[in-house]
Amino acid sequence: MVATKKHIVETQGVEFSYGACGGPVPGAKALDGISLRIEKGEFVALVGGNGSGKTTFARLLNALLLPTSGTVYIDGIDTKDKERLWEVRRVAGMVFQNPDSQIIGTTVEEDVAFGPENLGLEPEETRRRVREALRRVGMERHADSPPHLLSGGRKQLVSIAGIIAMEPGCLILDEATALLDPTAREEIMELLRRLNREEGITVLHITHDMEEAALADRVIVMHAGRVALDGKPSEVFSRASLLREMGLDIPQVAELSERLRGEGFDLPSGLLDTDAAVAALERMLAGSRHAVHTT
Amino acid sequence: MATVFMTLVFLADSYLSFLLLLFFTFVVAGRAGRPFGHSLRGIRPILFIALFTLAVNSFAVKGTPLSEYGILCHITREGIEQSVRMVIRLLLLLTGASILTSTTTPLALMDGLAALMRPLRRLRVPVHELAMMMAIGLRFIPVLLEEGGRIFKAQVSRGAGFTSGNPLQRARSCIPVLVPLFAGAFRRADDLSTAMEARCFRGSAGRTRMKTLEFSRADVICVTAMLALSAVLFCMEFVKM
Ligand SMILES: Nc1ncnc2c1ncn2[C@@H]1O[C@H](COP(=O)(O)OP(=O)(O)O)[C@@H](O)[C@H]1O
Ligand SMILES: [Mg+2]
Repeated sequence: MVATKKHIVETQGVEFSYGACGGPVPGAKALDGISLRIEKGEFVALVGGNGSGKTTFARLLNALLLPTSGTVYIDGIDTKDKERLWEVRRVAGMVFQNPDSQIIGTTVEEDVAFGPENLGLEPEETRRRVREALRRVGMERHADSPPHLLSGGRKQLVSIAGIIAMEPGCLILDEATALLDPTAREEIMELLRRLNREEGITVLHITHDMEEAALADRVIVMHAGRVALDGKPSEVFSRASLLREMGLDIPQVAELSERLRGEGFDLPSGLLDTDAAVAALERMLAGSRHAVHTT
Repeated sequence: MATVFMTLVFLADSYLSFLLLLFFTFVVAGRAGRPFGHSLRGIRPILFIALFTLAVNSFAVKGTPLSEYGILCHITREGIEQSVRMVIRLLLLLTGASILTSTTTPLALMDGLAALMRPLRRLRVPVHELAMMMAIGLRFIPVLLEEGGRIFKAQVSRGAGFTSGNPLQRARSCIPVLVPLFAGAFRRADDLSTAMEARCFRGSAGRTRMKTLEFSRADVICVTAMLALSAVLFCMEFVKM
């Protein structure tokens, strides 16, 4: 089967093990047969417990790691193709968890320029891209600031700008919001949604925060190196008991409606949005007033 | 540039030479496009040290006493003169350093050094990589300081004493700070190299720079002025001797 250009990410039977001396169980497979496709322009959340293989998967997409068996295609390019390695890394841009260990420049501007400089762009073009990337993340006023004086959220915006400046097709964020406070998280999520909607950048957002995952178009759940669930957030989060078995939370609204359904209340499955849930609850209460005193 | 300036500062001895140097610093600070007050603010914390030097030197240097009476008999004219020179030297140095660091980012500085060391590439010295390493080292000093501070506080809050005991005990009590600090630094270095690779870093081959270093007219003027200044000062100091 030949990978089509329509899919920015395509993996076929991908397995990976860290080798004889790595991991808690030497030689164990960190990834065990992952086949999935992500279309251009999708906003995908990847969730899963600690050690389920999310980071390993992300690193395979950026050719930081190569599959032990199976194939990874990025925009139709096999990541094993040494000659196009840099193209793969440009298309699949990675943002890591800790901003302090991915910002290289001594000023914001210098850092954002790092990627384009590595691509060998003309100074004029680099300057244009840096300006543009900083504008898109709303950090143009901080171009000359030293990164270590910025807040965690702003540092992460700089990291994202550094990737955008390379004009990637896909943005892969490996728990990029995990170390941030709630306001900064929201800001990053908003930025990702905007980049996705307005510029068609594909987003693969790895997160522990189920409220964030619920905002995606599609949720992939990994467990023990395999894809356990894959679908719309409403479908995935309606499998509450399975998710709990894998040690995962579910969003509060989903939790509430699932519990009420479990008690025999008449609610639609797959509620995630607070407003929709309120409306559904109101409808239910209006329809069955006698049930009120039992809640 | 900076090095030449520093040497000059140490060579200069007469007040006239100092006047010249001061004038030069003023002009450079002005041309660098920054208010002079800004450069001065950078040296404020050092003023205390300067004053201290002044006081100590006034007492310590032997010579003709200012007066026969009281405390003044310990202060010598030579002492005062020498310490005034010392302080001017200190301030000149710091203003120079302040101009350097506020007009040039570490990365640009290292690029400059790399350009100067280019002949070494014949000897297969990876000049660009070295420059990049040094610049990254500079970038991570504040990060490591912050981390060190955090570990220090964590150890103190667990009852570690850093201020009691003999020097050996104190040195030993630093180990619980240094070990995690180094472990953290290694982990960070590892993460950093991964992040650099992910951003298509492959050494200096094929890499361009957004800000290319150019030898501008200002640089030519500056270098010429520096050479002239060196010559004038040289004559002044050696003719005197
Ligand atoms: N550098 C490594 N060396 C050896 N084993 C590793 C390494 N990184 C991860 N592993 C192992 O691979 C598995 C998947 O880890 P990871 O991809 O980091 O999961 P996640 O990001 O979902 O927490 C885990 O069992 C982990 O112990
Ligand atoms: Mg991880």
